[in-house]
Amino acid sequence: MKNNQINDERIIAERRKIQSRGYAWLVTILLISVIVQQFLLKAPFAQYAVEFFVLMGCGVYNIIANYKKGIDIWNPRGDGKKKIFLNTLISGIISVVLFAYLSGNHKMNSLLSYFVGFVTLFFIFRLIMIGINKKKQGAIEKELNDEDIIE
Amino acid sequence: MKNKKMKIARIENDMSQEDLAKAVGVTRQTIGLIEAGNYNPTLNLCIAICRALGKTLNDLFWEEI
Repeated sequence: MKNNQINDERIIAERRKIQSRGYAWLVTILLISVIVQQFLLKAPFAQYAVEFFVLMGCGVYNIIANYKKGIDIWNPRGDGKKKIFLNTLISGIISVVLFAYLSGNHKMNSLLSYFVGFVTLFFIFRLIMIGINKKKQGAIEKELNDEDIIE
Repeated sequence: MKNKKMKIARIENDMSQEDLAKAVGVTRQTIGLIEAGNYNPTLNLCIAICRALGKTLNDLFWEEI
């Protein structure tokens, strides 16, 4: 039987907005919860492991979902490796300052190793993601060109 | 359903998908999806496309049954 029921698109759009806002709030609260437990309450990892992994899962889900839909979130807008490295370096400095402030750890050696680890890891991660994204965007571009020629 | 009218209008205006996308402020992928009939644009986007191509909503988005 044909379904003639009209779905109210305004209500659907509003519901999606509400859910999206709820998701953003949830992720923010999870992040605050992890930071508070790790740095202020000095809780063992096992205590906040679930929140931590859910937070990581949310991030991975976002990356995969955007990638699958072909949304260009890893486009460095023509920036070279130098600019990407500089951005990672600035993020690293901000992160190490926050880490030192929140953890109360002011030992130069451990802060330096944290900083080097952060910058190396994120620089490599960003390069890999930009590479994967470039490939996907190339495939989409090719598909669009092919469709444009065929029809 | 494929939107051939939009594609023809775009070609008549000597525009590529990229040009039209830039003119209306979306990605080329979105224009491709509209032409392929795989994405329902909002009324605002339809109007922007019509303005960019010098057509009316009827010309591009109305199908006679």
